[in-house]
Amino acid sequence: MSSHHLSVERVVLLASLIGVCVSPLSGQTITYDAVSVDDGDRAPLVVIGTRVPTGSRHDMAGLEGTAWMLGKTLAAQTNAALGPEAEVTVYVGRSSTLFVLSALPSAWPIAWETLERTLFEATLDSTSFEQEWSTLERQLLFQRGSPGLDSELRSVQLIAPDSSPWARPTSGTPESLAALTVRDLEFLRLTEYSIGTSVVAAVGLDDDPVLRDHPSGRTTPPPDGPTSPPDGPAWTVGSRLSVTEEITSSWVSVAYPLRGPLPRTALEFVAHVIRWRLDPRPPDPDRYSIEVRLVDAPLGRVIVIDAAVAPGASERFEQEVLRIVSSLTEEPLEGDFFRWERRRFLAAQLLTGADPEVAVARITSDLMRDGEPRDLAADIWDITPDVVAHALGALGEPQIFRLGPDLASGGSR
Amino acid sequence: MRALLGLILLVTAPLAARPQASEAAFTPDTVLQMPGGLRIVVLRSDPGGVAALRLSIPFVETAAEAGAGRMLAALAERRMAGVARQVGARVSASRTPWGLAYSVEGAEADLDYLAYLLRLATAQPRPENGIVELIRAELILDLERQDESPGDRLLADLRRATAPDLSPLGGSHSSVRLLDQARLRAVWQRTHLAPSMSLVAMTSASAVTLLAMLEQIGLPKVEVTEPMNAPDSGVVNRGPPPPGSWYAEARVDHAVADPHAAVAAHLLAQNAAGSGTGLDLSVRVWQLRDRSLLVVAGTALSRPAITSLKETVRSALADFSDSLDAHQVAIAVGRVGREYRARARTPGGLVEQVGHMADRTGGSSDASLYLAGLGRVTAESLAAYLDGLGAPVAVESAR
Repeated sequence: MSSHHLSVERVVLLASLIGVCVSPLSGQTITYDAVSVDDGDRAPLVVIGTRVPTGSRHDMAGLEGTAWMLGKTLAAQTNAALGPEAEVTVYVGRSSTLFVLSALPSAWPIAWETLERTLFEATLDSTSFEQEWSTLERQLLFQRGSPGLDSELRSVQLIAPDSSPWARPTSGTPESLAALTVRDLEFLRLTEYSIGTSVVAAVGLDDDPVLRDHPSGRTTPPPDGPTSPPDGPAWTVGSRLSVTEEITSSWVSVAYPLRGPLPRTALEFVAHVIRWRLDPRPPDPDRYSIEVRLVDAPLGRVIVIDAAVAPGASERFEQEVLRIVSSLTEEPLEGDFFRWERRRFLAAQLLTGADPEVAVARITSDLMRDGEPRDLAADIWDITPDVVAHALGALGEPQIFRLGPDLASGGSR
Repeated sequence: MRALLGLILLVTAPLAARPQASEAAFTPDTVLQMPGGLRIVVLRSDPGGVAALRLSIPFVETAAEAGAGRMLAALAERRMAGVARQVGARVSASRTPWGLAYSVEGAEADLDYLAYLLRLATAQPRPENGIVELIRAELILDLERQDESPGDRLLADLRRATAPDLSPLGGSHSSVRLLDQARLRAVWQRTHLAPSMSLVAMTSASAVTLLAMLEQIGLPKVEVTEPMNAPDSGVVNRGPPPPGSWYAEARVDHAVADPHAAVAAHLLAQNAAGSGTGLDLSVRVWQLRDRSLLVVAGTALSRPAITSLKETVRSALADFSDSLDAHQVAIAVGRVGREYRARARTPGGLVEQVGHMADRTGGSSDASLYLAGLGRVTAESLAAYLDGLGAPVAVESAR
C-alpha cells in the first residue's frame, strides 16, 4: 500500500463512549481534538471499531469472497504482530468490513497504530493469506449443501435486484476461492480501502494524545459523505417462492419492503415488536430459531423475518407472521401495551449495547450511514404510537420464501 | 430509613492500593455491611443506563441434601423468568462451588423491578404441583448423562479421590430422589438468611438506595434447622466403562484463588496442542469449594495406546516445571489477563467476576487483587507454585 493513503485527510468521527462497560446508547460524535474524558481510567478493556466501506458487494464476478479473504488476512496479519494484551476480530459484511480491536488500557495505543498501519499501509502477508485461504476452503467444503446457507442465499437474492453484487455469497464459493490470489486482495484494497472513508468508534477510551494526534485524526469530512440507503420501496409487488428439498427442517423467510424516509430506531422497534409476538410462552417446540432484522437492501430498507421450523409447521408459521403484521397494522399499539413494548425495547437495546463489540459495530454503522451516531435512549423515548403506526403503514407487500420437504406429496420433488 | 442508616457500617473501598487502570474496574467503590443484614458492594462507574445485580448466598449441603442447591436455583429461575420477560430483563440462578448466585440485569430505569426480581428469587419456594418432580427428573437425567460421559466420569472419580469430603453439586441418584418440597423448604430456611447474603451491584444508584429496595430480603435470623444427615447410600449407578481408554491426572492447589493456576493451565493446554503425539488431551482448572484441581486428561482409542497415553499425561504435568520459558510465561499472563477482563466487559459480566471472586475468597476487592497478582506471575514464581502443589492423583477408565 502506498504511503499516500495516509496523507489523505479525513474526519474520523470518534464516538468516545467512556466508562466501565458502558452501554453506549448515546455516543458523542466529535473530532479527535475534542474527545471528552470520563471514567476512562476504570475500563477493563479498550475496544475500538474501525469500519471500512468495503464489503462483498465490491467483489468481482467469479472472485466472490475477495473482501472476506482481505478482511480475514488483514486481521490475522495484525494479530501476528500484536502482543498478548490485544486482539483484532473482523466481520465482513455485504457493504462494509468492521475490524474490532480489544486491548488492555495500557496496550491500546501501540495496538491501534499496528492495526491502522496494517490495514492501510503494510504489504499483505502471504503466510496469513495462505492460512486464511485454507481455513475458508475447509469452511466452504463443510457448508456445501447446507440448507440453512442455501435458504439464506436465496432469501437475500429475493430482496435484491437481479444480478446485484450485493446478493453474492459474502465468503464466496469453492470455485471462486480456487481462483483467488493475494493479488486480487491487494487490488481490492488499493481500489476500495481508504483511511479517508473509514469511521472509528471507541469504548472505554480516555482522552489520549496518542489517538488524538494520530494522522487519521486531522482531517476534513469524508469525501463521499454518509451512505444512507434509498427510501425504497425495494419492490412494489409481493411474491412467493417455495422450493422443495428433502431436508429435516423447513426454512421460512418473509420480507417486507419499507417506503419513505422513516426513523431507523422506530423501524427497529417495529422489528422488535414482531419478534416479541412470534416468541410465545411457553415456547412453540416447532420453532427452532427466529430472527427479525432491519436490512439496508440496495433499493431500500426491508424488515426480514427468518425462521427455521419443523417441516409440518412452515405453513402455520408463515400464516402467523402475516397475521401478526396485519394485526399490528390494523390495530396499532397504544396505551399501556405500547408503553410496555417500548420499555422492553429500551431494555433490550441497552443490554445488547452494553457489550462494547456490539456498541462499536452499531455506532460505526450509524456513522457510515448517517454521518453521526444515534442517541438511542432519546430516540426510543421519542417513539410514539403515531410514529409506530406510520412505520407500519409504510410496509409493502411481502416477498415470501420457503425451503423444505413437500410433506403433502410424500416428500418427492 | 434514617434510623436504619444509624446501624450501617459504611466502608469505602478501594481496599487495594492504587490498582492499575484496567484493575480499577474490579475495585468496589462502596461496601455497605448492614449489621444483621446483607452486605452490599457497589462498583463505581457510569453503566450507561444498565443495572446489574448479583446476589450470592453461601450454601453447604450434606451428602443427604446434595443437589438441593441446584433444585432451588432451578425453581428460582422459573419464578423470575416470566416476570423478567415483561421488562426485558435478563435473569439467572446458578449453583456455584460456594453457594447460590442470583443475577439480574436490565435497564437502570427498572432498578426497583430488578430488586423485586431478586426478592422473588430468594423467596420461600412454593412450587406448583408437579414442578419439583419435573426438575428432579431433569437433575436425574443430568446425572445419567454424566454417568454416560467418560470425561464427566473421570472428573467425578478425581473429585472422590482428591476431595472426598465435598458433595457433588449435582447431587447423587439417591440424594436427588429424596428431595421433596419439605426438604427443600428446610434447606432454604437454613440458608437464605439476610446476614449471609452478599450483593454486588453495578448501578448509578447508591448503596443506601439498594439497601432500601432489598430491606425485606432473606430471613432475618438463623432458624434452628438441623441439616439432614441421613447418610447417602453412596451407591454410584454406573453403566459399563465407555469404549477406549481414559486417563487423567490432577494436582491439588489448596489456595482458593492463585492466578498461577490459570497461567499453568494455559501453558499446559498450549503444550498439549503442540505435542504432536496424536493423543486427544484436555487441560482445565476445576474449581471446588476450598481447593482447585489442575487436571490433564486424555483418551486413547485402542487399549495398547493406554501406556503411551499415561506416559504423555504424566510427563505433561511432571516435566512442566522444567520447560518453563520466561517469554512464553509472559505471553500466557497477557492472554489470561485479557480473557479475564473480556469476561467483565459488560455490567453483568463485571458483577459476575467480582461476585464470583468474593464468593471464593470472602474479599470484595479480591478480583482486583487477583489481577494484580496475575501481573506478578513469572517463570520463577510459576515454578515455585508448581513445586508447592500436591503429588499427582491419577484415575483411569478402560474397557
